Amino acid sequence: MHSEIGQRCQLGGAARLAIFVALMAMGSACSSESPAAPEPEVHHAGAFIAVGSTEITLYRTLKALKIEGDAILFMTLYDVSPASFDHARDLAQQPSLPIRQELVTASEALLLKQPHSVVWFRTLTKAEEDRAP
Amino acid sequence: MRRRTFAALAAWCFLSTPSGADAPAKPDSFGPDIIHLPSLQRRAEQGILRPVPISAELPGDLNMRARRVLLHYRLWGEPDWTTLQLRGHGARYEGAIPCLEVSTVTGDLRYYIRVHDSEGRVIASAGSRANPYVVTVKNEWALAPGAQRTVRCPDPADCPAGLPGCPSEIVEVACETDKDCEGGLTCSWRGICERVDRRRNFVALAVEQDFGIVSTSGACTVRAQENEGYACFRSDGQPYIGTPALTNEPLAFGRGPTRLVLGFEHLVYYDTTIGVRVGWAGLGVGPTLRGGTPFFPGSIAVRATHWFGSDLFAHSGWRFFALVTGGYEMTDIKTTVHVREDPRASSRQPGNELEQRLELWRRAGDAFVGAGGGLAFAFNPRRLLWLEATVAGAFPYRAIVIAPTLGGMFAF
Repeated sequence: MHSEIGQRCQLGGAARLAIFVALMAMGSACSSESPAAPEPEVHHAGAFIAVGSTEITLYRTLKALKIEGDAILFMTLYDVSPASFDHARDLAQQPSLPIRQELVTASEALLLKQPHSVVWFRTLTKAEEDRAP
Repeated sequence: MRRRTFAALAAWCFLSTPSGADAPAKPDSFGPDIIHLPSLQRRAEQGILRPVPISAELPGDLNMRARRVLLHYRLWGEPDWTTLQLRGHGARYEGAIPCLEVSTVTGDLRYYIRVHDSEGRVIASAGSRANPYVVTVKNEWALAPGAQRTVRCPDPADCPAGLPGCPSEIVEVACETDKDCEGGLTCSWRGICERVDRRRNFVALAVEQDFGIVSTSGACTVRAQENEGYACFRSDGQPYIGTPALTNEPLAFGRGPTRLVLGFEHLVYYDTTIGVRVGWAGLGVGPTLRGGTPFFPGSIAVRATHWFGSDLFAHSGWRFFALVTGGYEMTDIKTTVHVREDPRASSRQPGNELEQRLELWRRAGDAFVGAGGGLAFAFNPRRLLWLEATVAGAFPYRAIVIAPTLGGMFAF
């Protein structure tokens, strides 16, 4: 997933002096030591996961139940047919998507063995949380 | 004490004029000290085309303090007074109203004398503009019998400047304050009396539009919103109370309030004013989160301004200026900020996208110090229109506030 971290501190040379003065005055500075932004993973509640190679399906994790060596994922299956992972990301960012199945379960280990990508993330609403047992 | 001292010294002061017949008049009181001339004839007469010799002798300590003795005279029919500097020879100062200026015009010639110290203050005077000495210039045949008849004007071509009877150099009148100047003249910053309309007090009315540069890294954390004067709002208008990941974000530029500013400026030197300004913020005030410090729209600032140029407040035209300022002011700066949600967080606000752009308000202040500059145009010494920009650092809630201002100054 694309991240803008790091690139935001690459300023043009002409502006550096003025920005430096501003930074000194404000007690803030860009730092290469800042931690990397956490990426959403399959088991994060709210994550959108595109799965498949030729036929891609779009899921969203509602809840992850950890078991030994694996996790049971409670997910919503959307009624969309993205052509690619990028397309799936675009679809995931839409405020509402048609739902094919409100609750499905899957093994995280099995899902990870298939071609997949966590394409987006949005915190769950109360209604979405209530879908999971 | 000084007045009594000079009264006692009055007997030492002697002033010689052409001969006359009128009784002496009581000199008026003018200036800080008076040279009393009990033996002086207040009126005199003389013939045309003759110089009017003037001499004054100063008492000892007055002579010690005297730097220049100036003769102010006005010819019959002339609207303006002319000033000559008398030449000193010890305690005696001499000069003459040139005979070529006396010319052939008959009538009353008025004059008075003022003594200035090294700083331009008037320390003594004989006569005044309101009550001058008078020499009546008459034709030869009209002079009283026995009147002194001095030599008539020489050929102007043979008349060196500065000699009695010859054209003399007109001098500038030194001064320290406006009180040392007469006839509507004011004391310039060079210490010379000038006929200029120089005003020293101004009121200013202006409109100020604030802009700001704020740090946005970590601006939308709950801690920053509760303690550091930030407020973040999602695109749906809901306050953002999510869990943002720590990311480096660039400084953000945003718009601040629009203020109406009323000020007072005082000219303390020919190129320097000091002033105070009060303002009231109207448009551009941000929301206050529950429990947050409410926005106070009032502001007050003091400033010192340096005007580039010479004695600008005596003239019209363009001028540049630079200033330093400081005071009290709250500034709400509105901008946007990129926020990346932390997917690992356990408690979350519903509906936060992984990455979103939030509306960010920064309540900066309450104090500030800054500097700036601008350009002004004076339609005349009483009216100025100016455009300026100041850059100020706000603290303890930090921001850089840029404030372009358009206004006018009016003298009173």
